[in-house]
Amino acid sequence: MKKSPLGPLARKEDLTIEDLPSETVVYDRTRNRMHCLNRSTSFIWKRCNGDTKVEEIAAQLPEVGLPADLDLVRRALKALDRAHLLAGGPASFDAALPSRRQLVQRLGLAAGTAAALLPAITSAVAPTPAMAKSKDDHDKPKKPKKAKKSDLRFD
Amino acid sequence: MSPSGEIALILACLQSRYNPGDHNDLKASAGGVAWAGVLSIARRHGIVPLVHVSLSAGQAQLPESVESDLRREFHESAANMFLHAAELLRLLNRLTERDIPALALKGPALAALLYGKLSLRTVRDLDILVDKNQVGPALDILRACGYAPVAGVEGAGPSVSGKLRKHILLTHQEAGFSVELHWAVADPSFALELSFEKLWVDRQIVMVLDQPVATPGNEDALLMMCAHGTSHCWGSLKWICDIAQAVSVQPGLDWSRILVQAHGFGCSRMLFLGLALARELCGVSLPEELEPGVNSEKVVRLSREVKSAMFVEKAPLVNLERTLTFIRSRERFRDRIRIALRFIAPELRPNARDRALVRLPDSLQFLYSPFRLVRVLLFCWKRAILPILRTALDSPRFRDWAASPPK
Repeated sequence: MKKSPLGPLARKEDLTIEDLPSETVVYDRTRNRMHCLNRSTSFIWKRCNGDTKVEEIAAQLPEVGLPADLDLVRRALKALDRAHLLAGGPASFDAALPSRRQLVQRLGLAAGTAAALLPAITSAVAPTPAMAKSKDDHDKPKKPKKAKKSDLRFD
Repeated sequence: MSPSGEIALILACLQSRYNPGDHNDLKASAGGVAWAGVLSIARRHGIVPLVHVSLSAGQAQLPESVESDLRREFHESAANMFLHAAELLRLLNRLTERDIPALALKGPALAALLYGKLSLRTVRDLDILVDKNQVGPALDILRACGYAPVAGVEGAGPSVSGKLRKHILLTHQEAGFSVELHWAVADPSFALELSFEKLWVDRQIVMVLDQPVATPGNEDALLMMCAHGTSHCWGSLKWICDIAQAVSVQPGLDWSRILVQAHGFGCSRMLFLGLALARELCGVSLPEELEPGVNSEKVVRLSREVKSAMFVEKAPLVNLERTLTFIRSRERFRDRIRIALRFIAPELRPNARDRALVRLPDSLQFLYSPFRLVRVLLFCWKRAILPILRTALDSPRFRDWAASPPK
């Protein structure tokens, strides 16, 4: 595991990264997995250059409307690590991290804004068209087969 | 056309991409709309990613549930696009290994080319164009990759089936991917002869998931987008957004070459129609040299019709309506005749339905041909001629003429 002695390092290999106004979409080509990083996670991830310490990243958090709280960065790093978006092997971010609810209370965030502000990653393995179709078929109530419309073609 | 609040919001989303100052319009449009309607229109027109991104960038106040639905659908669409992109690369690599030149049409290649981000475009299937002589070997490769032609066309190819005129549809037996293997960019009845050789010579390389993929050059791609939109009677905003994006992000487009080429293929009107729709619906600016064509009377009239039909939920167009649209989208008489003949010839052949409607003895079988002709004429009268007459009678020009007929 090649970990920078100073700070965390974002993984770059085999990733397709697309920056959008409110999130960053990352496609992991080796695992065929897509991750959507919200603004604060994306902000933290982009600062993982190996030279910036966790404390320094936390100090920059007010730029995305969050308080400079170390636990916010630690939580984001833990999620990024779990999503295999940090270079090197699994890191240890388990050191007694507060829960999301505890963080919201401690930072005094309103419930509505917390969802948008707090670091979050949505991950998805794309269902193949066959899987998606079988899910749709399962979800939808079965309709009786319609008679073929005669006006789709002349006859 | 006076768009409903939902349509106005959708259009404001698209227009804000090319006119960033319009974010205020976006916020204003977002007030009091029926969000279920907005989502439904975005879904139907394949533009959920564009709407999601515009609304996020415009910081429009969305109800929480709508925002989460939109975000979820965007994530699903993006994941689906990445999956299709990976599959496209797998197939193109196999074709390349066997020295079969192949061009990726639409789908992930177009998303990468126009938007620079795969996640901003939706995809349903993959389109690969090969030379007509390579269809057999390409089919073998696709079969080896787990694909089979859809039921009814097993073993078919351009050389063995007259019915398949531009592509063969295959599906992956386990994953369910759909691939259209093309050997022509348009059905012969559409009279657009962009050959594979020409497209291959003018091809460009676009990076899809960090791998190079060959796709038609910008100028050819624009013509193909306009032809594709016309062939589907412009039923989806997604195609118009593609054209707007092409015009917007490719300032180096060689317009004189595009115009000469369109003129040569007799598809200038299709080109101008696509550009007019991109300007009017997405608010993209067009170069001055295109103004005369885009503002020509026939293009303006066609564009008005397309726009008025675009957001109306109705039964799919029948062949006759589609054919009439194709004919009106072309400027050369010979192309119009060719399209009309292609449509008329098979329609005039008596079929089982005629025989079921009227049972004639063997000695009178020859009467099925005139009977069929009468049926076709009645159908044309009801579905085409009457609506055209009604539209003409309603037109201001006719009303003016009726009010003061020329002496």
